[in-house]
Amino acid sequence: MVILAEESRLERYTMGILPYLILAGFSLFTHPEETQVVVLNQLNDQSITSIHLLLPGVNELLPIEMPLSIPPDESIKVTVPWGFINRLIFRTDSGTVYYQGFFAASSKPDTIRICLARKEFGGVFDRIYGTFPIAVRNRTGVNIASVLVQGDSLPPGDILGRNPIMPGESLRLWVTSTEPCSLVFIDLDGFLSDTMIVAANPDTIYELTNEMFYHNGTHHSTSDPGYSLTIANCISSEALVSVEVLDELGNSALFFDLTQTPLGTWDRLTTQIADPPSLVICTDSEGREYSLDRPDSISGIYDFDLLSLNFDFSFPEGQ
Amino acid sequence: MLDWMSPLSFFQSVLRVAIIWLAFYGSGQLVRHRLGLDKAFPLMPAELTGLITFVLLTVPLSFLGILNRIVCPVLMLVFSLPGLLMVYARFRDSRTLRKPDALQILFGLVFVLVLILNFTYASMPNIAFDDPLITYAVQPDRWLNSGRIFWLEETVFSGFPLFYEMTAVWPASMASNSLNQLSLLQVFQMSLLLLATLRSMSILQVNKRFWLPVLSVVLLTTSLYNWCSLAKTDTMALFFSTLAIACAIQQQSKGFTGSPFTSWFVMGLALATKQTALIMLIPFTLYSIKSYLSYSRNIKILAIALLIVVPGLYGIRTMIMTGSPTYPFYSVSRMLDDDWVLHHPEEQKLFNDRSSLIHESKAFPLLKQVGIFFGHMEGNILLLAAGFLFALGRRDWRDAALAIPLLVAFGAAIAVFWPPWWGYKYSILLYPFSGVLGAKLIDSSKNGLTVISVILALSIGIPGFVAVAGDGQPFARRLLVASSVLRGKWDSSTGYSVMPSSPENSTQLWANSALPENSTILSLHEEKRYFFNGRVIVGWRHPISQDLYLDNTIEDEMSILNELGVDYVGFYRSNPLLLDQENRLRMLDSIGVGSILEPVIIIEDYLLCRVHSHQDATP
Repeated sequence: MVILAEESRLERYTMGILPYLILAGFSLFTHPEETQVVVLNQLNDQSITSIHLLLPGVNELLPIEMPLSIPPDESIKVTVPWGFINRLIFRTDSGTVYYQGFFAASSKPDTIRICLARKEFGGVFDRIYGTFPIAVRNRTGVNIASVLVQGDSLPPGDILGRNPIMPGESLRLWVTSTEPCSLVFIDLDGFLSDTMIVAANPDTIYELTNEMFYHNGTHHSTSDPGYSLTIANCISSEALVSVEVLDELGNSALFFDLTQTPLGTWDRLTTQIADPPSLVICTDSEGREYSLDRPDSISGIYDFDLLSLNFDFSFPEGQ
Repeated sequence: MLDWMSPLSFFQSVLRVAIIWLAFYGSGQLVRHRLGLDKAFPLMPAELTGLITFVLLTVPLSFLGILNRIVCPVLMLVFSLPGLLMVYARFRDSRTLRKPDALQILFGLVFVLVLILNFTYASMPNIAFDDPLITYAVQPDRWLNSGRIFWLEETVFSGFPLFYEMTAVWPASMASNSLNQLSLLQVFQMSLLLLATLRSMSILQVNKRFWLPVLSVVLLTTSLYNWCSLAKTDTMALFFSTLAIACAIQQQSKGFTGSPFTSWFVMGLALATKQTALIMLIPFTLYSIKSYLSYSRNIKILAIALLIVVPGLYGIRTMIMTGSPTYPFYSVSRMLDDDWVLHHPEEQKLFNDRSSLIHESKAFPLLKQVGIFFGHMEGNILLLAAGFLFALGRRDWRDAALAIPLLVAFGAAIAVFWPPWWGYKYSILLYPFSGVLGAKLIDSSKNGLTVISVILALSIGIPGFVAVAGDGQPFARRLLVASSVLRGKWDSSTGYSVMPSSPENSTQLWANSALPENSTILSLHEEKRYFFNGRVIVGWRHPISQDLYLDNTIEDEMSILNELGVDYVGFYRSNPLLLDQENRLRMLDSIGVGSILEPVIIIEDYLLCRVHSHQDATP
């Protein structure tokens, strides 16, 4: 029993001291809160004017203090938080954005070279006018050529630049406040979308849809009894000249020859058939065939875009 | 039901490939008897004679411009009829086979299961793997489209060797569309593996009771299951080299008195099929050297001439076009015309060097690398090891010595194709023969059948359920493939995914429908070109476009694009090129509406851009 008592005392002392020992041990090896990274400008004719960070689990963009812009072939040391950085975004005096994704800032000196390989080629387009995010995803079937914005501290005119936002890609607009602002998107043909009222919110992804462009086109419709379906032309600079609807057995249930009144970009046609269709086929003015076996899950409209074009596995004609 | 994955597609592919072999067999028998080839090439199987006949036939058909999808299948069908009658006659004559015992029935059932597993897998068009879609399936396809064999300017792979491509024209011609064409070529490859093993056992006179288990062991090998179901040259090189070595051994056996030319000519066909078949020259030479030294001077010269004649013809053609007979690999640089000199971008060289730092995570220790090499051989190395031990056990040094040339070849293959985690694939040519030779060395033993049964069980059990050296194909997946093909629907509930396509394939298919005919796409990095009916030039591969990856001005780049007639440029939007090569391609700084590269479509991040001339582009 005495031995047990001795053991438990020893245990008690040990357990009491151990956490302090562990903490002391860790304090010798803990990393600093910040570290320095060299940013080298390897761009030929642009100066880097701003650097922002997007840290994991943080909703706001973190600006990095820069005393001066970084001219070509020169470098500066910047202080960044120690640890993993989701994205470092660099803006140049020409308004072009470059980025370095998934960067681990450690105590080991590191250099980030800003060069053409770091350019924002697509996917996500960051446009920085503040630190609060507004994300908009292009869910349309067309390339977005320009974006006009209106709101606090936002510049007039197009903020996108040459490189379009393609279907599935996103615009990430960083603004100064959570006050609402308005966005208008312009497609390749110059058609304007409905105005989108948005406000900074890290948990929201706004979606630009085909429906926001429909007002640019004409809506043709019939009013017969039966199942109603709407077909929309969401192909830039292209007209649809025929529409065919197949039933479940693959038979033609309806055919419209639209050669005289083609469906232009953003035009729609609403018509009725006896049963829900199994396939809707359209032909464009070049004779190319597009098909869809189901409507858009949100709008319920058969939105024909470039990706609806039929893949053709057959050998070239005449062989 | 998917039109490319259905019982009907599967049976059609198998039936069409059977027609091809019947045509080869029928024509081969006729040619052998008419031309008296039995004497010159006594060990050459009839179907191989027929295959060579059909390859020769491609030349006049090409000159006449009728090497197409009408004439070729008609010829196949016509020649398959005598083939069918001859096979039927042989079957009728051999009906007096004795009744199989229970073990043979079991072997038979296993073999049928293995056949179903392998051939259903082969019948699924593989549109994920690059090589066939870069060149091997492309050339037969393009030749059939134009009715003639021609030098495909957009790829450096138009030269030596081309025996596979000229053979592949025949199965390809039976296809109903480009997807089905891949299926047929793949099933044809698997049939080559089957025939290589079967015929080499026949040539070496391996005990017939061993045939089914040995065939099962070979076909079950994971690497062969994977590589021999691809529409590429490997299986044909395997077919020729396996037969050549089997013939070489048989030709030096005591009872053999015929002409020794078969092995030399067939080895030449292997070299005319794939450059890496050179590794098979090591065992071939070691097996042939003794009998070769005993030949008369004329026979020696003739044997060497037969070895080099077919690869030599391709070499001459390639030399006429490029200056070097072995272009694009191992080119004789002094002979090479300036236009064809290749300057691969440094980043690409670094990536392609599998022992470079870029592949540091796979820099295993030597012992593990050797283990990986032999692990890939699965049942084949077990058969060889068992045969070797049996020969040692019965103190038959002559038989035991037969394994030594293979051991030398293994060592050479490890060294030449270092590191083995990557280079093992070039050694698959050695696998079936290793298994067959092992069976040959076992077959005089009393316990041979027991040993082979155990090896067969291990060949099913270990790679199928436990572990495998490379990319695993566990039995659960193999069965899933077979059942999915036979049901016509992929069962996704198992967690295994169907072979994915790639965005560049989809983009090419889209481009077929959307772009003007005869458009030219420059692909900055991805190499596939099969599905596009126009031209796809792979930037870093082509001698002219490789200059794009140097530090040029935008004017220089545009002049290269003009020279090549490029209309569109394709690349992954988020990461156009390997490492930081983007820095040297100025055109990537000009992507946009009205810019030099104007985005047209994006499919799963793969972007296709229309090229505007520098003058037309908006600054």
